[in-house]
Amino acid sequence: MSEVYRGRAPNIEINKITREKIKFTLSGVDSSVANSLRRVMIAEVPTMAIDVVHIHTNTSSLHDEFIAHRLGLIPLISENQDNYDFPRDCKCTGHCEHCAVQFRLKVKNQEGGVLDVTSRDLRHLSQQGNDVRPADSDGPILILKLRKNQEIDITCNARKGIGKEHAKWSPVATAVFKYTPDIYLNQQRLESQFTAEERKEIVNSCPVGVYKLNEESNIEVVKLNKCMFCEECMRKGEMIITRSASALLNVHDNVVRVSQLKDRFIFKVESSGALKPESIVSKAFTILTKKLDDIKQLIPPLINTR
Amino acid sequence: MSQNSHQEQNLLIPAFLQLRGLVKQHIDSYDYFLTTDIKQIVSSPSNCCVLSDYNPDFYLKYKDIRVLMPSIEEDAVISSITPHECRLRDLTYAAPIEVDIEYIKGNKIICRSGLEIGMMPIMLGCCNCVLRNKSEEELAKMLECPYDPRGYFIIKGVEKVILIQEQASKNRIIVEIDSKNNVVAQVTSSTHEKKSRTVVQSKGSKIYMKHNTLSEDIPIAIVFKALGVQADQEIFQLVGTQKQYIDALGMSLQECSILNILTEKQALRFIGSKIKNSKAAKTGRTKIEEARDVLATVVLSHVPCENYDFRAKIRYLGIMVRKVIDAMNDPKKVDDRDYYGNKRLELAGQLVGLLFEDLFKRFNSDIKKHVDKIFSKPKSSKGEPFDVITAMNKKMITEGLNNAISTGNWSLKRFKMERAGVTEVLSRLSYMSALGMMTRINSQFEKTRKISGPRSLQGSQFGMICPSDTPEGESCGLVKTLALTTHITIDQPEEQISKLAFSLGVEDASLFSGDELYSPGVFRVFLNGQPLGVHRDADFLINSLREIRRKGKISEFVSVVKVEEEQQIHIACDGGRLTRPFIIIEKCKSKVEPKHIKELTLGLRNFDDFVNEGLVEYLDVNEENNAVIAMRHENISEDTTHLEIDPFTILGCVAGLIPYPHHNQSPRNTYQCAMGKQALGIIGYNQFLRVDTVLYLLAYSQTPMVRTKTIEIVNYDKLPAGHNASVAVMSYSGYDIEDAIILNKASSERGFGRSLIVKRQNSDLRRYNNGLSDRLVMPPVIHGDNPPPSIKKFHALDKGGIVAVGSIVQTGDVLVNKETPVNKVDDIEMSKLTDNDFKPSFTCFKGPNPTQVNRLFIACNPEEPFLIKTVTIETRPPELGDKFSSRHGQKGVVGLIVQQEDMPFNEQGWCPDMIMNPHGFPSRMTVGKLIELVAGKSGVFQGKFKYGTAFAGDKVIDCGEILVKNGFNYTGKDVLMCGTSGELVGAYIFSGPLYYQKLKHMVADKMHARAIGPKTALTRQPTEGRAREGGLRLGEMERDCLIGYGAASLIQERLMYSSDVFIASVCESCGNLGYEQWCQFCKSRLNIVKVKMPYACKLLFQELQAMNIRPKLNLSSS
Ligand code: SF4
Ligand SMILES: [Zn+2]
Repeated sequence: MSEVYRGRAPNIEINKITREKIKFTLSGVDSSVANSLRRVMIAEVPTMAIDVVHIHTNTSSLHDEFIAHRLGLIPLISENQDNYDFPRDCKCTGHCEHCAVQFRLKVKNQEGGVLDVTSRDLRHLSQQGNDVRPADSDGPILILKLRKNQEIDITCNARKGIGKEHAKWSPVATAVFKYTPDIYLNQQRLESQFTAEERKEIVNSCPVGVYKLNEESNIEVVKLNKCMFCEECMRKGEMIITRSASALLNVHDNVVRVSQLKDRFIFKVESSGALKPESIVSKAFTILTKKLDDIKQLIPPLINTR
Repeated sequence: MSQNSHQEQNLLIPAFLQLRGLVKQHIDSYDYFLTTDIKQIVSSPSNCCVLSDYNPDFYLKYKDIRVLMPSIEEDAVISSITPHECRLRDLTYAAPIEVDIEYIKGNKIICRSGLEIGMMPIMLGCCNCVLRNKSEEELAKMLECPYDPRGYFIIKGVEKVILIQEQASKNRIIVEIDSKNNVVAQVTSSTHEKKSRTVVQSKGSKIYMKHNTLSEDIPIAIVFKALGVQADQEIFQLVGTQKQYIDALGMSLQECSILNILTEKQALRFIGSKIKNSKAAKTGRTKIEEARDVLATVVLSHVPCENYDFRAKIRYLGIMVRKVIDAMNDPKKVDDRDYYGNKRLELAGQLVGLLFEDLFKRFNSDIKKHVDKIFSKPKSSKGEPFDVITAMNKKMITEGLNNAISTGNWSLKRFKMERAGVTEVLSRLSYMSALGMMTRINSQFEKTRKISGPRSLQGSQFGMICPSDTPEGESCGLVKTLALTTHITIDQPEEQISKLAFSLGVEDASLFSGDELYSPGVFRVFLNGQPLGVHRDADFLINSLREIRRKGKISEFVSVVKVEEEQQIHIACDGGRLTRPFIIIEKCKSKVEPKHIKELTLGLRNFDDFVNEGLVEYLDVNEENNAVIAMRHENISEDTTHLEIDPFTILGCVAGLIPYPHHNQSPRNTYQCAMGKQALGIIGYNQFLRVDTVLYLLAYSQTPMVRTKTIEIVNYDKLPAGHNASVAVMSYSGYDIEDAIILNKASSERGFGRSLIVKRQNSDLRRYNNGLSDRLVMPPVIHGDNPPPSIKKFHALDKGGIVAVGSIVQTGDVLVNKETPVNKVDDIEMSKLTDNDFKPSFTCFKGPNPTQVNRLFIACNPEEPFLIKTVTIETRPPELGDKFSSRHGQKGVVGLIVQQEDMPFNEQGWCPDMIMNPHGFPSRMTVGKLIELVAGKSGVFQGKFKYGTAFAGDKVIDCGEILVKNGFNYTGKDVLMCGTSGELVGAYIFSGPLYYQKLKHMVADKMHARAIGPKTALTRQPTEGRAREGGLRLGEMERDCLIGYGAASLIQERLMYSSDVFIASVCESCGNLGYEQWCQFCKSRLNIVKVKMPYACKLLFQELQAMNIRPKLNLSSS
């Protein structure tokens, strides 16, 4: 198998970028590379998230820990997270402007009715750190609701962390890849041994509509990338062959065959809102290379000791 | 069309429950008690007045009684209370009982109205409860949850339920075969005054009557003679003149002549000589008089007998004898004891009624005693004339009721009845457990007897009792649950019914000779088991009665049953029968038409309208036997008389949670019924306002994707207990053997399976008899970062000595810094008190994890002047070993928590919250779970809830189609990729949403280990159990292993050195135990040696010595 890849250059081809999503095709690499990229995106791209919460007043109907948990899960825009240190790396004790951004949430419902407290009510405590703020492009995020005269007063620190530690630091909602489908149609047999009706059956068997019948009522692959390897079409083909009871035919020689191209991966990454999708990918690559670099650092002593 | 109208008619069930509610039976029965029964009790001739033996002029007469709205008297101010206030302040939710009386004071008649004689506990939701008929908003103002089932009591802040008690029916003849193969016809007579059991049984070929008051069995002919039946001919007529009766009675009649008893007097004398504890000598009555009295009042006491007119009793006895003879000839005529038509369910109203009557009688007899005492003394002319009100002890009734309900011990003096376990604390583990408890039926049957009869499912339970919801183990089948639409009747007055029966042509039985009663074609009519008369046209009577019932002229719960084989018609209007509603079918057409349903949905009609217009009627278990009931529209045939409203109503509310239960193996549904009650969830809208000892709650509880009709009807969708987990059914890592599940770490961090544990700790400042009371003290000041633990434990306290709200406490931290006076008895001058007169007695927090103090309550009630309740909330994400279960009796513990990136994923970004091993399926056969997954998955893509209602629900075919339409595999399988390697998983993975419940068993509450710790005082061995920080036992089997292995030193180390090693002084010369180098026996210290032995061994020797056995120790050195 590995022969296939030899001498082939890895390539990335971006299919689509929106505010929250990126789709790209990574080719010329093995599944291990693709998967490490995916894993790093989920678990090791750092972001900022609220981590330490001080509750001064809370007369709301939710209890303190519940609110703290909700605050933690609010995605904070972390494009500039490089400017911050991990709390464990920072020289300060407690927190400082290098490792934390402080917010204050102070709301009281004085009007009556029900007041929604949302991520928009989170205010920075100081000028510094304005680049880290709750993601807001899909509207405010509800934290809790207050009834008349209920009040909440909280200060909280956003700190840098990674998804491995807690899911709130994971920058992605989804980060997945799939193999590129490879569909082989034995057109010759399809034409000779199948009726038009049966070909239509095969086309209809696909739940995602990969196939279409063309003018000559032959099967054509139209949406290859939609294929999810469910093999419904293969099973249908087999079924039709067995049904027609042509015992002479070799059943195992499928007329339709779906397989995966093992060196082309279609990635789909959706951001949680903390980072732009493309920066998640590029940061993931940086981290991946840094990991390799760190290993490389160990090589010279190894060689020297030989 | 039939499908459609069928779909619609089950709208009747919510309508039914809206009107009746799941606990309507409790509330109805209590309403009946408060409005009717209590008045009857007080106005009954034996209770309504108190007379004096010494003063013939004196009387006290009760004219009326009523129960007011709940209130409390504090500092002489009477204010109304709400149930929630009672819960918070540990009060009793009770209302004053007021009577109107007329009595003699001096020589004047005095009328007094509105005199309080005690407090009556009020059932929540009953007619005297403040919550009755309140809107959701009004309930919210009273801090009450609108979905709370109610129907329980609050005694001293504790919610108590009076469970439904199942009993054999009273006042009915039941024929059985006893262990000696004799036919036994017995009847338990029960009236307000008396309870007794009369038995007519065969012994060989003779027939006897047996009764508790009689020391011997009386030949039946003698009983007849004693009751005034002179001629043998007459006896034959009463029983039956056919050959088999004459043959069977022959021997019994002979006995009369053998004993030479021919006249009524002789017979009475004979019976009189057999009476146990005869009082004849004392009262100066003759044996004959006494025997007549027993026959009139004790034997068959429920059959009316005035002025020694025994005719009704004679006829009743005749019927009993006839039944015995019938059963002797034909074993098929024996009754089935477990048949539900012969069962009655006792509810709170009846039980409290019995208790109240007993207490009221005692109350009156106390008054009488007091009055007699006063009047027996010579009258002093001076001073105020005696006022009987001063003799009334209000506390007696109040405390009697409160005690019985809070302990569950029902002791009724007049029936000599002692019953334990009548009430239970309402379980608030989850909403379902509370509901389940309210619909639970407790059987009086002994649990220890290993008899399958009463435990097995009886055909007559169909539709009345849930076939799934029963516990496993010893009480299996004895504790049952009501089905969804079951209603339990309450007592109805008989007079109206009997009058009606007579005007419909029933001829009074007393006008007939026995012979005519049994002629063919004549039906004997019974009302509540009492013979009423005969009727020659049975169908006419039955049809007219049913017609009148459908017209609403008599109660809808009256049942009319024709028993063809016995030529009997039974009319019943007594309480405790099980009934449920059916749609009436006439001429193959349902009387409920689509237009009616439409009116129902528009709110123009309620369920009662259906009943009143004769579209729907209630049938009890017996009347069901006369009906031909179609299950569905399609099944209607010419004979059909009724139609089920919907088949799923055969299940109860707890079993109703299961989606597709009809696809599961039945024990699985039973397991789920037990587990559904342990699932953490939302308990009520007021859950954070409650102060229960422990509340287990689930954060972000979700309504299930796949619902059932029952779920919506019982409001489980609003108070759910579980999460819709994305489940992949696959093998992963090997940490999933034996039903263990794999959890996604990211999911749990985002809130999946996160539970809240709300705990309450009480601490009260008591006041002592010497005027001193407990006090709160300021905590010591904490200096520095690292104070010693003895000081650090005060860290959470406020200046006032009570813990600060919002602080985090750990095990051992002080919550209330209380001090108690050392001397609680003697009078001490306040000014001389010093700190040394108080010793600390603080309340500490106990719990596995650091926990936040959420609230503080400071309250007072009549018993406790200063009550401090501390409420802490602990948030607990799922951890290894926590127990989860689906709704199909499939429980498992968390075996591994996996990082999200290691979890398998599909190409669309889906990633499971949970992985379940497929080995859970084949042996459990929970096909319902498979269908739930497919249905849930299709619902997700459709954006709709799916229904898995029993015997209906969305079809798998349709769900599969929806999946295909949305680009998924028809069978719910997906192509997944491995999270660790990125390769395709080599199989299609069955995956989708399943509703998972987190059960209350959590590792944090159970985890336990100890190195050193406390010892018990007596044996000096380590304590036992987690609560006492006990050691882990090296039991017999473990010991056997070590012996087998030959590890002698290890055994010695485990069993002695690490346990209760003791160095005893033993005297070598006499072999006795000594003490501190001194042998008391030899009075010397010369031969004392030290011997190591377990303390328990030393204790044994001493205990033996105490029993005058001398264990002698012969010592030798090896
Ligand atoms: S494998 Fe499934 S998705 Fe792919 S083409 Fe065949 S039927 Fe369509
Ligand atoms: Zn001695």
